[in-house]
Amino acid sequence: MDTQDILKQYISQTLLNGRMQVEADDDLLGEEIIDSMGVMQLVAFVEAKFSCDVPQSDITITHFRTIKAIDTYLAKRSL
Amino acid sequence: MIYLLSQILDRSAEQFPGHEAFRCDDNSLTYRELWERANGLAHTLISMGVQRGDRVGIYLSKSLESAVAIYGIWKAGAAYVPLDPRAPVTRTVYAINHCGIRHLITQKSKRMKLPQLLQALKAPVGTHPASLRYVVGVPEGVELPHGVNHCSWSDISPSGIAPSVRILEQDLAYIMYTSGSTGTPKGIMHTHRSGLNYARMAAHTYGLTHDDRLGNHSPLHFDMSTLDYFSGPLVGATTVIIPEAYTKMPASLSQLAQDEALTIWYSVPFALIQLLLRGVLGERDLSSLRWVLFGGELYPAKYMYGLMKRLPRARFSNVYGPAEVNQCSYYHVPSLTEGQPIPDEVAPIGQIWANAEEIVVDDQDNPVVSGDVGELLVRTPTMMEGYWQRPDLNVSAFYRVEIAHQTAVFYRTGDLVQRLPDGNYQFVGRKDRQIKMRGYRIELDEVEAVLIAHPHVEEAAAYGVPAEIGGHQVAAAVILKPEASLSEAELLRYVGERLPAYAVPKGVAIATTFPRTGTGKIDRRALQQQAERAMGSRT
Repeated sequence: MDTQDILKQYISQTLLNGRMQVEADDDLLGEEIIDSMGVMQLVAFVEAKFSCDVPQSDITITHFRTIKAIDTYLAKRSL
Repeated sequence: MIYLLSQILDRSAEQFPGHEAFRCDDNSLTYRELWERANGLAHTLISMGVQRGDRVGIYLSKSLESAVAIYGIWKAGAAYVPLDPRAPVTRTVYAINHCGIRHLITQKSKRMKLPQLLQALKAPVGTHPASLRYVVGVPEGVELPHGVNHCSWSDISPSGIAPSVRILEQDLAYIMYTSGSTGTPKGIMHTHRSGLNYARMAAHTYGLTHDDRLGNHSPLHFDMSTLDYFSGPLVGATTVIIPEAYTKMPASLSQLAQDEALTIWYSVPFALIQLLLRGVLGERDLSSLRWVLFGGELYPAKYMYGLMKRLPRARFSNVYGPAEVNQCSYYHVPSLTEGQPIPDEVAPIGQIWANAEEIVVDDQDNPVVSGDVGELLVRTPTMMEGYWQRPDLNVSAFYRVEIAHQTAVFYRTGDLVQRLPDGNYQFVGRKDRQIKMRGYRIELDEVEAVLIAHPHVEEAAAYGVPAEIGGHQVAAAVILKPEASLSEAELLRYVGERLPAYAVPKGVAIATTFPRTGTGKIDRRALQQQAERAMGSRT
């Protein structure tokens, strides 16, 4: 599975308990998808799964608004 | 003379026409523009049949349209009903039908949920017939049920002419739905009088002026938003509406607070704790902040003093008051002196506002001796009219007493308080089974009622367990009916379709027996302690 699929699966199955299938472009931070607790869980998941450390200053709308954005952020980091 | 909340805007549009009233995501509306857009919306609503006293639903994400909607609805003589955009559809349908909403205001950002909501409204369940007839702001591509009319935001032209609708201060201004212990939400009704009294009292207490920039953190259906939407405009200040995404990203939130040079902050402690722990405040300049107001739940002292140290120029105040009375007390937190250790106690709720009167009573409604714990009853001109169409609650929620041959009406807060030697009140707990989660009220009995309603559930118990960062969250346990089979995930999904996310238990234990009290009742306290021990053993 690529990064986007891993994130899709984690958010849809674990964070949302199967309530909804998220797409790469969905606004994760709008009203419908994840709350502020969910954001913390998501960051912890990203750190564990992709063996990286996400500093507080990187946890921003720019990097985490969509699955695509997270993918881009992670790709840039690994360069 | 001002006696209606809508007149706030009329006056500020005259006094500060070119000043920014609201900002959101780099867009803004001056007072003149807001006034014209609100007039335009009011004309449209009136042409769609809105009449004095009608309830108009607001189903919007946080945006400039929120401000246009509130003032436009008032200008049409109606009351606004803010619907939680995150709530499960069944709950939104309940509110719409319960208070007979015929007109709903929405926008493009709700296009995901709108079709489902409209579908559910077509087939009403329960005692209330479907009431919805008109939808304003329907996004393209969303099909409306037969018989429901619509218009889009672009159809509404701003107008320099205010509609001529006569209403008075005792007319209904807004209804906010909150958790009810019997399993259905209850609608808190405020009039123009109670809303305006609050707007004035808050503006006066916090010395708001047209130079202030208020950060609107709370969503519309949360009563704290009234400071940003009523008191800010009353003095011609600028309210910066913080989009939902920022409230989840503390590093972006602190950036916004800096860029927008916010002067007044009002939110639940949870948001402030997030700012302190994850807001990279060391890289930000928030020196414009002059007052940080918080309320809705307890703010652990170490986080409160931690943030005070980070923001030495800001005053910090604990604000108290159930949505039923808007607000009735505040406590200015004194800064720690050099070398003083951080106290363990949370800040008191302070002294009751000068325009309100309180009594603290025991179980028999007898006043307690000062310093003893009792329930706080408050009488204030910022108090609600009552709950929408709930005569039962409207008897039990108030304490009526004869004073000087007249009836004085006190609201029973359900909060247990204790008067401290310095005259401030300390919050000690709840009289009933209500808990707070990030400021949201959760009636544990409502959570149980939803669990019990599942056809496979025999018995259910819900209880509060401490959350990681202060406050509480819901946990629950159920016993299934004989031969029924149901997984925790299935049950959580069922509850998630009926309760707002903050009220969904973090876990439901499927049990075969419950601890019982001597009389055979479920011993919820024992269940709670078990859950707390289980949490403790994991950390």
